[in-house]
Amino acid sequence: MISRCDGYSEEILTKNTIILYVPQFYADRFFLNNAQLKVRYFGKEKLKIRVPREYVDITDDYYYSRNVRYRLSNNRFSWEEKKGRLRQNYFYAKIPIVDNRVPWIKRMRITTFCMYDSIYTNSGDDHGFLECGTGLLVGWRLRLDLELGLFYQTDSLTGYFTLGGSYNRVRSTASILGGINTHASFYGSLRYQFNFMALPLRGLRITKRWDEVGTGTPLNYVGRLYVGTEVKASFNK
Amino acid sequence: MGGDLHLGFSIVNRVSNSIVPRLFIQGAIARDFIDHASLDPYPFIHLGFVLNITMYN
Repeated sequence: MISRCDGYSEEILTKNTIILYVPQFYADRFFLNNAQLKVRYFGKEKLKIRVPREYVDITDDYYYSRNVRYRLSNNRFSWEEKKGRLRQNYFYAKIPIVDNRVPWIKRMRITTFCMYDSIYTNSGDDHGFLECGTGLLVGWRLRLDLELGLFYQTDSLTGYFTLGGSYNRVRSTASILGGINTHASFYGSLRYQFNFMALPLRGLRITKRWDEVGTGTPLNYVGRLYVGTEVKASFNK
Repeated sequence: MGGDLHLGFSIVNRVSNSIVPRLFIQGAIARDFIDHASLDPYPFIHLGFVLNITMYN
């Protein structure tokens, strides 16, 4: 049982403190520090997690969540067993990347809650394991784009520098750019692209080893494959 | 002035959510709309580096 009441002592209890016992989702830090991670190429659940059997209580429910403090949208997932001499030492689970992040893994616990004390006053849970961006775009954003490029067509090489804007959705991007090319003339572009595959680059490693996912391990580099169409104007004096 | 259909690969670094650098390479089949001497589609290679700066989320 975890107490969140500072100074839980006789002195507080003599001041008519009301202590409630409430269920609460908690990230299991010991469990998290012993989990290992792999990125999957395909499937909705992009992450595969394995944990030594002795650290998983198979009778308990486990959840993944976007935020360590978020009390809603905790999604339950289940464990799998695998055959084989090495594999049978672990429990395996597949979970999705949630909102650009590897989600937190939580369990339900009963905790004490001091009445009139904010439930958000606890500290120390908002950083660490799995709090890392993956680069998969979620939602939509308006962005300012500074682009430096080089293209080769019909035996000529042209460089350019442009400034523009883009409108980004979960998988697609539309952008408009205008600037100058290496012929000291106008270069402009209207572009639409659709990302059909995005993976953290560690998922592209040939060895496909399990990663020790310790506190704060970043997954910042993401590779994306996309198709698109573009209309462009590049003048040459 | 021309248009293309392209297939590309990009690498994005998401250390920051507000400024996101992206490196891309794409190959395309392009066609010029104005220069009638090159109306036939031609291959097109494009390399670029983009800084995406989030203005509105």
